[in-house]
Formats: sequence, structure tokens, C-alpha cells
Amino acid sequence: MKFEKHYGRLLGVLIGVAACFVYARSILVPKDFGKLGHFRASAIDEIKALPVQHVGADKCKDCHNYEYEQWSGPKSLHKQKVKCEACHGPGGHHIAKMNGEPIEEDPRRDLKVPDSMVVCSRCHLKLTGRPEGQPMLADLNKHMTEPDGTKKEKCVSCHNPHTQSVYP
Amino acid sequence: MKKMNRREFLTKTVGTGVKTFVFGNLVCTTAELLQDKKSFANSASKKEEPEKVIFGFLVDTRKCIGCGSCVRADKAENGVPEGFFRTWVERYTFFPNGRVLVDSPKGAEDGFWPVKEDKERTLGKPYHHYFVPKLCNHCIDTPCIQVCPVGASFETKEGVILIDQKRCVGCAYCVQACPFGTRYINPEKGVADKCTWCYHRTTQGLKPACVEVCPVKARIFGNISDSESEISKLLRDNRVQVLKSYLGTRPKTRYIGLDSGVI
Repeated sequence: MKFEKHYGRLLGVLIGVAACFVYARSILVPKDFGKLGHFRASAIDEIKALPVQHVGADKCKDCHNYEYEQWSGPKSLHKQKVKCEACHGPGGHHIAKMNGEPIEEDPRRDLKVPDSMVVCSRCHLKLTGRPEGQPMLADLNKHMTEPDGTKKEKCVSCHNPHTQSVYP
Repeated sequence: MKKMNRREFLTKTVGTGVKTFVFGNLVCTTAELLQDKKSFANSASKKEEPEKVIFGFLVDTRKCIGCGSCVRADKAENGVPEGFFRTWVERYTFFPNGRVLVDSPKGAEDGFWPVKEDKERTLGKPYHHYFVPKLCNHCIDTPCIQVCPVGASFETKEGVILIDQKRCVGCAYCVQACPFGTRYINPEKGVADKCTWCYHRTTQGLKPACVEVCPVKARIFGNISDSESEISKLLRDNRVQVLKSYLGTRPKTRYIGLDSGVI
């Protein structure tokens, strides 16, 4: 027949295209793609391996025992509810630094509480929307003025930040 | 080619068709039988496996005080860039005449301030107000996984929706698909990003960062397949709702104390 000699070539081209496709796919698609579903299975382990930043109050206790005792003592109001890292920020960076691990300085993670007026107000300022039962201050000015007229500067001028009770 | 008459043609084609049908059916049935046997063996071995873990998240809006601790903790834990949020807190203020004011200054990263007086003057005195923390809903029927063209969004066996950031090409289809607005394109990495329920913590037995720092226990996280866990008990004992239930995405983040004004 007239076109018979072309069939072989056509077949060759088709096989070539198929081979290219298979080769390209083997390079472009990751090996573990599709193992657990339509995604890369090792991505799960990569996400699991991310560093933990909020370490929990028990880790803080190892070095800051005095503050921990105050916080968990009978006089404390924040006990077991407001944890260290809620006000101080995450401690993972600090622990790594103290262990001598080479870690970049990060001013946002040095665990310093910026200003007690700001930090305490976040929870204890009288605010539209807060549920009843939350200890709130409606008139901050009045609260911070002594009976003799002198004004206090900050919340921590009178309150111990770790027990929340007023200094004796 | 040899010429074929009509009778020969018909017998040949019909015969071949019948043979193919019968043989094909045989092969299929055998394969199915084999598969059944396999799945039966699998189900038998599954019983010995450790107990199943399905994560769940519950937000109690009656307790939230809008302090923004969760937002700050989440940003620090996951390195969320400035101006973007994996979780944020909204304040719903309901005024007379059905007017609703929703505000979330900087995602409540620095907490809230009292509602402005001029708003009260024009809209009247608010009669009802509360805070609604928002985060990824980890839906059962997710729109975001469906639209991903490269298989970078996926669901783990615990029911958590994650993003493979090495695979993601940053096309932002998922950002548009999410009806809750929980996804964003991370400007530093150029890929999609969102709440993972702190998968790196929860798989180690820790709580998510936002749950860890919440001072009023407004956020509860746990294993919902364990009927004795704290979250299962709360889900049983309370009237629980999800956001935008009419969209049919079946969110796994549930809320206590929402009403129809919350979107």
C-alpha cells in the first residue's frame, strides 16, 4: 500500500513521545507524591518538624522557680489560667539562646513585658463586648489615684505582676 | 483484502462482542473478589491499630474577652508576617434597627478599645455585643483543596488541612476559594499560608499556641473521636454552631454562642 512505509515512523514518533512523557513525569513529580493521597507524603513530616516556640510554664520553672512559685502559690489570681507566655511571649527562642545554640537576636522574643499599663489593659479595661464576670476597670484614673491625691504610674507600682495581689 | 459477505461479517462482529463481554466480566469479577478479600484482611488488621485521632476545635464566644493573646501567640509561634493573620478576633456590636458593627483593629493584635462614642450617637446604644475569634475551619468538604492545581493543599489523617509550601506555586486559587478568608499569600515566601491548628505542636501532644495562652479557656482543642475528651463533652453538652453552614463546607471548627448576625 502507498502509506505502509510511514506506519513504522509514526509508531516510532508515538513511542518517543510516550517515553519523553514518562521520563519528564518521573523527574517532575516527587517520588512520594500520591502515596497517601494527591499530595507529597513527606510534607507532613516537614510540617511536623517545625520548631515549637510556646514551651509551657513547666519549662520556665526550671530556672525561674521563684516567679513560678509566686504564680502558682495560694495568693495568685492568675494561677493556672494566665500562663507565663500569655504576657511574656513565647520562650522557645530564649531557651535555645540560654542553651548556647547559635540563634539570631530577636527583640520581639526577649520575653520583656513592654508596659504593665498596656499588658494589663488588654484584659482588664472596661470594654464593650466583654462578658460579665471578667474583672474590669471602668475608671482607670480613679483607680490609680490614691485617697490623698497622688497618682500611681503603672499597674505594677502597686500590684505584683506574678501574684496580682497588692504589695504589702 | 478478502471480500466478506454480510452473514460472515455479522457472525464475526457479534461473536467477538459477546466473547469480549463475557471475558471482560469474568476478569472484573475476579479482580473485585480479590480486592474484597484484601479489604477484608485490611479491616481485620485495622482493629489492632491504635485508636483513631480526629482533631476538633471549639470556640466559646461567651467566654472570649477580646484580649488578643491568641493572635499574638499565633504570630510568634508561626512567624506570620506583619499585617497578615492566621487567627484574628472580631467584635460584633448589635445596635437597634438590626444594625451590626464589626471591628477588628489590626486583627486584635493589640486588643480592643471601647466602641467610639460617635458610633453610639448615630447608631444608638448597643444592646448586644461579643467577640468572635476566627481561624481556619478545616472543613470536611474543603473548597481550597479542590481548587489546588498542583496538589499542595491536602488533608491529613487527623482531619487537618495543611499546605505543602514546597509544592505550592502561589497561584492564590485557594485564597479566593476559601469562604472564610483564612488563607493568605505569604509575602516573604510567595506561597499560600494558613492556620494549621499548630500541627507541629498537636502531633507532639501539645495544644495549639492560641489555646495554650488563652486566659479564659475560650478556645478548646482536642480529639473528637475520643468520647471522654474535654472537647467531646463540651460538644455534647452545648448548642454548637458552625460559620456559614449554608455553604455546605462542613467546618470542623465549631462555635458556642453565635447568632445569625455573625458571618
